[in-house]
Amino acid sequence: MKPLSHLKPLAWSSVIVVSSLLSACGSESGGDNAVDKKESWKINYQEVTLVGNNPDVCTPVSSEVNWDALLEANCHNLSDYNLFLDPKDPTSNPQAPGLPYKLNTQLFTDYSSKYRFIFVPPTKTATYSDHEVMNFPVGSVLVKTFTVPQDTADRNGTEHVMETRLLIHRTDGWEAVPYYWSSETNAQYLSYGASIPATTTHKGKTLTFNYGVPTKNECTNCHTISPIRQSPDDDRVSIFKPIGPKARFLNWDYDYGSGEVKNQLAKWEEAGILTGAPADKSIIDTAANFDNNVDISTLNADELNLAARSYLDINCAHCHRSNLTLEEPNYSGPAGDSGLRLEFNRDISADERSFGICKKAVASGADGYPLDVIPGRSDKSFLPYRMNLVGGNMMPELGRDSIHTEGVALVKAWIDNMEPNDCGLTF
Amino acid sequence: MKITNQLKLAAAVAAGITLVGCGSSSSSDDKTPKTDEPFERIMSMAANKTQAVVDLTTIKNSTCFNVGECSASGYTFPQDAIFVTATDGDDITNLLLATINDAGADAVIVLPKGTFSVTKPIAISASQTGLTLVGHGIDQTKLDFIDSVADDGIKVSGANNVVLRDFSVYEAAKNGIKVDQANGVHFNYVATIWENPLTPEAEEPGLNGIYGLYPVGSQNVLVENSYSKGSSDAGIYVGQTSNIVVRHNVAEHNVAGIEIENSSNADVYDNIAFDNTGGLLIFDLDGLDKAFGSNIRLFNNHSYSNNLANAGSGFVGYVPQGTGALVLASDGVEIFNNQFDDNDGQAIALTSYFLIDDDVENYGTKYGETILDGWTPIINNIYIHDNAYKNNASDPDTNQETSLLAQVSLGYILGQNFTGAAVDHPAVVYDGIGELLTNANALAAMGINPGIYDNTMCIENSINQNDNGADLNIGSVYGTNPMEVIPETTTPINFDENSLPTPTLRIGQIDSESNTLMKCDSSPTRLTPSVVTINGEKYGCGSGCDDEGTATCNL
Repeated sequence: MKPLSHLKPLAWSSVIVVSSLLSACGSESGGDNAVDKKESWKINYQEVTLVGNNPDVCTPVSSEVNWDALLEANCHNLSDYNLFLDPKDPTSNPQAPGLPYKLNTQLFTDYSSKYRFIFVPPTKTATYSDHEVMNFPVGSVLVKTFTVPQDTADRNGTEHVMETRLLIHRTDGWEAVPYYWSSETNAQYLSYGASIPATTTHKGKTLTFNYGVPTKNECTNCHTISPIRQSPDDDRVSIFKPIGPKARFLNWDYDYGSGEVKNQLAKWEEAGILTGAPADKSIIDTAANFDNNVDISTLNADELNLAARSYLDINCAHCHRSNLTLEEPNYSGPAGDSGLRLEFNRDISADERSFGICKKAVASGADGYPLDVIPGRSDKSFLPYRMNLVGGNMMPELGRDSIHTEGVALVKAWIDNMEPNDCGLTF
Repeated sequence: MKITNQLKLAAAVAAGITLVGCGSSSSSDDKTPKTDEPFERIMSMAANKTQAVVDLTTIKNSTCFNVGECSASGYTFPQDAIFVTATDGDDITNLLLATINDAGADAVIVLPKGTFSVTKPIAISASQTGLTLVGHGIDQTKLDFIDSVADDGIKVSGANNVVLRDFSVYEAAKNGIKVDQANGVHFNYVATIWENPLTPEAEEPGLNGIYGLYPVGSQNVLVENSYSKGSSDAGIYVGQTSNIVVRHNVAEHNVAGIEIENSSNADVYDNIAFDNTGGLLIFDLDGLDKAFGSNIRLFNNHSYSNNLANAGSGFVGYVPQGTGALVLASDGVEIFNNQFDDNDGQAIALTSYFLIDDDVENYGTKYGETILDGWTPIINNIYIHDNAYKNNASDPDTNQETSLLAQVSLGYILGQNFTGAAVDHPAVVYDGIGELLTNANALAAMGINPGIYDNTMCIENSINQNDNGADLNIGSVYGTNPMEVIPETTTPINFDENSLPTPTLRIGQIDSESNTLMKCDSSPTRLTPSVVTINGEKYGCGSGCDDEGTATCNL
C-alpha cells in the first residue's frame, strides 16, 4: 500500500541531495581524485524496442546528408540520416550544409546542455519572420541534442548524451522524430519515451532526477498550435511548429570557431539559407542573454524585465499564447485558453491580465496563492508557485523533474520589482 | 487559510453581524476532512454501494461476455482493432505508449482487462485523429497512474472525433483525462478516480487531481455514463466549448461535481451529483478565448447532499459548501425538473461576478478587453421551473474564509435581513446586484442598459418537499429597484448616502402569492435543445438525435 507515492513533497525531497551526503565517496575534492570522480559518475542506458523494418531509403547511398530519408521515413537509427561527420558525436561538426546555432535564452530541461543545428536543403532558403519562427522550406531539419553534464560548471567537460530530437519539415508539415542514445555509439528511434535516472552537479550540489525523454506525441504538446473552434463545423486540426529559431533568440553573436564570431542571422544570410532579414540587425527586438550564471541582483529594471520576458517566452509561451502574430487566424497554443499569455511580443502595458497580473488562475489554484501575479508579492503569486513545484501541478508540465532555481528567482524578482499592487486583496 | 476579497458590497450587513458570527460559528472546522488515517486502496467502483455507481459498472450486454470481443457496455471490438495485450497487474506504459504513438488516424486501440500501471502521461495528438481508445469496461480496465509523477493521465490535443470508453483512470498526477481543442469528443463509461478523501492542495499537494473528465476549447462534446470522484476542481467539466451533452453521469466527492464554463449550447440531464462541495456549476469567467457562454439547460438531474468542505482553490474555491447548483455571471440558463435534496447551503445560488470582485469602478481597466469580447459580470435570463426541493438550506456555510455567501447566510439565519428576524435560509439565493446596478443605469459603460431584466429572472412551478418544517424560501441579497424608497420618505432603500448599493437581504416563500423575488408575469421562452455531432451521429434531445422524444427530452 503506497497511496502517497506520487506526492510532490516526496518528489521534492528526492531532487536535491546535498553533496555532503556523497562525501563518503571521498572524491569531491582535489585533482588527484579527478579520475575517480569521473568514473564514479554514470548514467545508465536503456534498451529500445524497435518495431518493423527499416525502409530501404534509410540506407545511405553516400556520405552526404540523406535528404530523401529525412523527408520520407522515421529511420531506426539517427546515423541513417548522415547528419554528423562523426555519427557517434551529435554535439559538433554537422555534415554540410548544417550549421550550429544557439538561443540567447533557453528552455530549462533539468540543467541539460543542448546542441542545436539547422539543415536547409541546398538551393532552398528560409524567409525571415519578425516575431514567429523563420519560414523554413520543406526538407529543413532542426536538430537538437540533449546531454547531461557531469557538472554544469564545466559544460565542455564530461557529459552523457541523452537524446537527439529532429524536427523535420516534410511535405505535409513538421514532424517530431525523437532518437534516444541507447548506447555510447548509437541513437535509436524511440516513439514511446523513457524516464532515465540521472544526476548532475550544479553549483556544488548533486541533483538527482529522472530525465524525461518525451514520447513522439508529447513533442506536440509544446510544438503545436490548435484551432480556436469557431463553429460546430470547424474541423481544422492543430499545426505543428518549431519554437526556438525566432529572430529574437537568434539575433546575437555566435562563435563558429576558427576566430569567426558572427551574428547568427547574418551568418544564415551569408550561407544562403535565410532571406528577408533587416540589414540593420540592431532594429530587431531581441531577447536577453540569460543563463544560470547571471547574477539577477546586478540587473537594472530594464534588464530584469527583458530577462524575465525572454525567459517566460521561451519556457511558457509555446503553450501560453493566442493569436497575436500567428499567421493562422484563430489559433492558439495549447494553454492559450487559460487566459494566461506570455509572448515576448505581447504589449504588457496594454494587456496586463494576459500576463496574469491580478488575474485568478482559471483551471487551478492553491491556498495562499490567490492570483497568478500580484505585483510586488512574488511570495503570494501563483505563477512562480507552480514553477517551484516538481510533479503534480508543476509548470512547465513537461521536460523537467527538478526546479530551475535560477528561473524561479528571475521571475520572482520580476514580480517583486513591479510597482506594488495588492489587486484588491487583503493579506 | 484562504485569502479572499473583502466583500465591500456586503459591508453594511457584515458590520452588524460579524461579532455575532465570530462568537458562534467556530464549528466549521469540524468539517475539514481528516487524513491522518492511511487510506486503503480499493480500486473498485462496485465497492461503492450507491446504486447509480453500481449501475454504471453492471455488465450491459448479456450476449457478449467474451473478453476480446466486446466491452462490458456492449461495444463490439472491430476486426481491425489493435489489441494491447498484457497480464493483469503489468506495467503497460511502454507498450501502450508505443501503440498509441505509432497509430495513425481512425485507429481502434483496445486496452486489456485488468489493473495496469502506467507511469507516464499518455499524450494523443492530431496524428491520431479519429482514435477510439476502448477498454473492457468502466470497472474492468483500470489504468493506475499512481507512479506517474507529473501531468495529466491522458491528454488529447487538437484531434477530432475521439472516442474514449470503457476504462478508468486512477490517481493521475494532475488532470484525469484532458481533451484540448478538439472537434468531436465522446466519453462513454469512463471513470477518473482519486481514492483519497479530498484535501486542500496546500496541505497535501498532489493528493487529489485537479479535473477529472476535462474537455476544453472544443466543439461537439458528449460525456455520458461516466464517473468522477476526488477532483480538487471539477469532476466532470466542459469549458470554452460549444454543442455539449452531459448525461447519465455520476459525480461524487469533488469540489465541483459537474461544471459547464464559458460554453454554449449545453444540455446536462439525467446526472447524479452528491457529496461534492457544489453539485452542478455554470460559470462565465473573464479573459478567455471563448468570452462567454449561452443556452445551457440543466434538467432531470439529482443533486443531493453536496455538503463537502471546500478543499478547492481558484474559482471553485468560492463555491459555498452545501450548494446544489451555482450559476455565476452567466446569461441564458434553464434549470428544470431537477431534484435537489439535503444540500445544506442552498439548492440553487445565482450570482453575478460582483460577488467575486466588487471593485465596479475599475471594471473597465480590469475587464475592458474581455467585455469588448462580449463577457459581462451580470447574471441574466435564468429560468428555473418544475424543480423539487427537499430539506435543503438547513446548515449553510457561514465561514467567511470558505464561502462566498457566508455573510449573506449569516444575515438570514441571524436576523440581519429585510424582515429583521431570523428566517429559514433560502433554498434559492439570488444576488440581485447586477440587476440593481443595471436598472440604475450604472453599467452603461459596459454596454449593459436598463430594460434587459424585463421578465428575465424567473422561478415558477416549484415543488416543496420539505418535511423538516422549514419554509421553502427564496432570497435576494439586493433589491433590484433603484427607485425604491423607505415608505413615506424619499430616502432610497437600495443605495446609501454615497450612492453605493446597500444589501438588504430580501426573503420570500418560493411560489407564494406574496413573494416578489424572481417572480415573472409570464413564463420566459424555453431554451432549445443542444445537438452533438460525432462521426456523423447526432446525440441529445434535438431533432434527429438519439434521445429525441424520450420522456426526459419531453420535459
